[in-house]
Amino acid sequence: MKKLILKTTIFLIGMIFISELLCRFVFPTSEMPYLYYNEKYQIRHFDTTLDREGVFTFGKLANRGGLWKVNNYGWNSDFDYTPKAERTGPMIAVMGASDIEGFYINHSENLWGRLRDLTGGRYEVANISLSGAPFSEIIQITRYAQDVFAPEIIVIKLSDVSIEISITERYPDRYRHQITFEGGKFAERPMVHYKPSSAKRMLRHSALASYLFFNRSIQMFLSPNNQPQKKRAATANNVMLPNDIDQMAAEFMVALLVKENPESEIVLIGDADRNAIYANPHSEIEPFEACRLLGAECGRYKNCHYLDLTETFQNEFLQKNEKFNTEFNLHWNVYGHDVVARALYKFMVTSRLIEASQ
Amino acid sequence: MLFNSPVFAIFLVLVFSAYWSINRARLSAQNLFLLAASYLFYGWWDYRFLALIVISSGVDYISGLKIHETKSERKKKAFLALSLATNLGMLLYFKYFNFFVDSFAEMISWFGMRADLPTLQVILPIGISFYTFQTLSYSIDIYRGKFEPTKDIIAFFAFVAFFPQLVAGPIERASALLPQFYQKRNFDYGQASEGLRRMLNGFIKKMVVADNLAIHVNAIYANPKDYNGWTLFLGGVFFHFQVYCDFSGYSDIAIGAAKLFGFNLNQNFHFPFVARSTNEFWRRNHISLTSWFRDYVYLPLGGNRCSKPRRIFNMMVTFVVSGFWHGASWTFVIWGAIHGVFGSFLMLVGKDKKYRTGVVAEGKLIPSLKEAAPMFITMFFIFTSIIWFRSPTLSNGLAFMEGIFISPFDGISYHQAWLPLIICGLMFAAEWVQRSREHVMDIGHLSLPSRWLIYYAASIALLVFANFGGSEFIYFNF
Repeated sequence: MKKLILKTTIFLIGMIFISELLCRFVFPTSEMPYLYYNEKYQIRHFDTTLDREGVFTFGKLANRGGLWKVNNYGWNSDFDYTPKAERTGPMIAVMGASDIEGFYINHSENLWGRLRDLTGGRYEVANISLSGAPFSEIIQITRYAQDVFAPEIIVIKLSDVSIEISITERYPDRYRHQITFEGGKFAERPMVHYKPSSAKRMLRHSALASYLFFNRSIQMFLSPNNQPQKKRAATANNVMLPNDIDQMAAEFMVALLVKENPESEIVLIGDADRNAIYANPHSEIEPFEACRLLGAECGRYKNCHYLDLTETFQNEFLQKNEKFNTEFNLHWNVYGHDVVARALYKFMVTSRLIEASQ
Repeated sequence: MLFNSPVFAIFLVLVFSAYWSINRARLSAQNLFLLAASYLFYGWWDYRFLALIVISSGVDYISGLKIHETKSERKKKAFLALSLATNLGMLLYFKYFNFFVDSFAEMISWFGMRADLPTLQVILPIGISFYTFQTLSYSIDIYRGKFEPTKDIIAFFAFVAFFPQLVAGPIERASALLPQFYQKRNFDYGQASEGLRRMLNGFIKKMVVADNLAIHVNAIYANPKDYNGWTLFLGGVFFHFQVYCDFSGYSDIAIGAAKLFGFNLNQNFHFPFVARSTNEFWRRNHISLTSWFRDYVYLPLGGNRCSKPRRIFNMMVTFVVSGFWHGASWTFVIWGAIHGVFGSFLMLVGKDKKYRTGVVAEGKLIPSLKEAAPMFITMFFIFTSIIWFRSPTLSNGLAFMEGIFISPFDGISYHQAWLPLIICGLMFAAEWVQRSREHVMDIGHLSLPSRWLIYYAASIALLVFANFGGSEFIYFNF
């Protein structure tokens, strides 16, 4: 027995050492910026005092993603942002989750990078996005953005789960700013400050641990009950919610967003069901329900504009038969970001939110 | 509890440590501990279905004793019938009830009638097809006088529920496994290290090969009408490799885990891809099930000792029932029937006994054309017939057949076919090189540095290429 334990231990130590080398040099693990909890605004962005740039990789073989940089305000951007007091030109703040945060591709190829090009550099196009942020958290981030930058235009990208993951009772996540349904109405519920344990902090220095966590999402494997679908199923079984809860949530959140940003023009862009488009490009594709509800609410306000991407993606796919996302997941690829940037630019010009560039 | 889950890793380490810490002089304590661990293993999935295992074990324990004790043939038959009714009844209720109801409703609809028959909203208890067959064989063997029943209730219950092979086999005969529960078990380094090698082999097969192939197989099977005949045939090839690696991977982990506890389970797969006839294929593939059907269905029907038409009938019945065992669907029946037809054809032309299970092209790296040709013909047959096994519906299976044999040039090619082809090619190459051994990771004869190099390469493959999704084993559905 001792022999087995000894040999197994030696083998495992050797395995960890070899894997560490492999993940450092052969399959370079994804480098990720450190998150920082901004107590003043009760939001998270990246820590400007730690690693400021790196290369994002994804998947088993560590496919190369984009080069990321943490700017002066702790967002992924290749240039520093100007606070409202010092700014001389208009600003477009682009917000959303991982698609917009944009680690999968380089800065210039992202929606915000492309939009900067399309507007001829006349606008300071700022990426103020954070992976996994639900719509409810983006509203909280707009408060920060309004206070620090006061952007003329706020663009927010919506997804099929924008509403679902915003509601605590449907998708509980204490480390996210969510809304909670209490006493027949919604209220905001601030996020809990996430402090990684010292062991986790130490593990961040290991390429192997980073590879397993960031490239292989081993956390899903280690705690299967925390996987999104299981989390949803568990809460769906335990909580009784009104049938029109999504509609109510959409009303609450859009009203909050518009009320708190009266000086800004707000543009919501609803992602499309791209898998449905790929499968049946000639058929009528329904927009995502969450996008439809938020878009409809947005239409009730003068300074809120909604762009649904279904038709854009469908027409583009019919013409070029080219997919808009990586093979790895549904995050937009370079082509996808370009299509959206062009559609958004055109939409903002026709809506007279910006002037067409020369 | 899935073998490919972190919970199982923790479970195995804890159970292994506790098991060998128990006073080895007290065999009953070890067996009781194994029984408790096995029930925990099964109950982790759904504790309510533990009752079925307890019922099945209890009925067969009592039936076995009574069949042996009584002198009356009538009573012997009655207790055997009790065992058969209990085990097959559970199987029929949980697995086949809805199939029969739906098939009946569809059949009478052909005559313009309509029946709203009730169906059951029950889930299939994992492993029910395996442990019921294991306990059935125990009672039948006692009835036939081939085996004496045990009075040790703990050993018997532990034999039925032995966690490594409880949910997906190998289906062990009492004569092979039960006596091991009576023997004193001492830790053996050689056996344990062989067990770990075997487990590593199983994890590679399941998590690296099967789970990665599943992505491509699912893509092809989702829309068979989009693809050309070549792609659809490849879909069959990929699926066969997937199901083989999934299931034989499970068996390897089961056999390896059992070795860690001092038990030897039977070989369940032995390089089926090198088979030179379908008969040989079935002697190499899912061996425990094949031999079960041979001993409890084919031979009682008359086996080979009867006229040719009767032998063909016996073979057809055995294969159809075997297909049906895999799942309550007509597609499985068709799959079984195709194998029955081909086996009968070989019997008619007198080639059914030509190839036994010897090493193919022994001592050679490349086989001669004479050796390779029957292998490729068999493979082609296996790959095309397995399509029925995977097809969820008859129409899906027909779409495949039409695409392969009637309009092979219609449709597009699967754009990523090269990747699963490489995976299958590497898998086949590894099996070919090791075909004279027990399994691919059977490398105990190599020098220490060579062995460790292979362990590291395999572990790194697991780290980099394994899917950490914790996907279920295909045979859990059976």
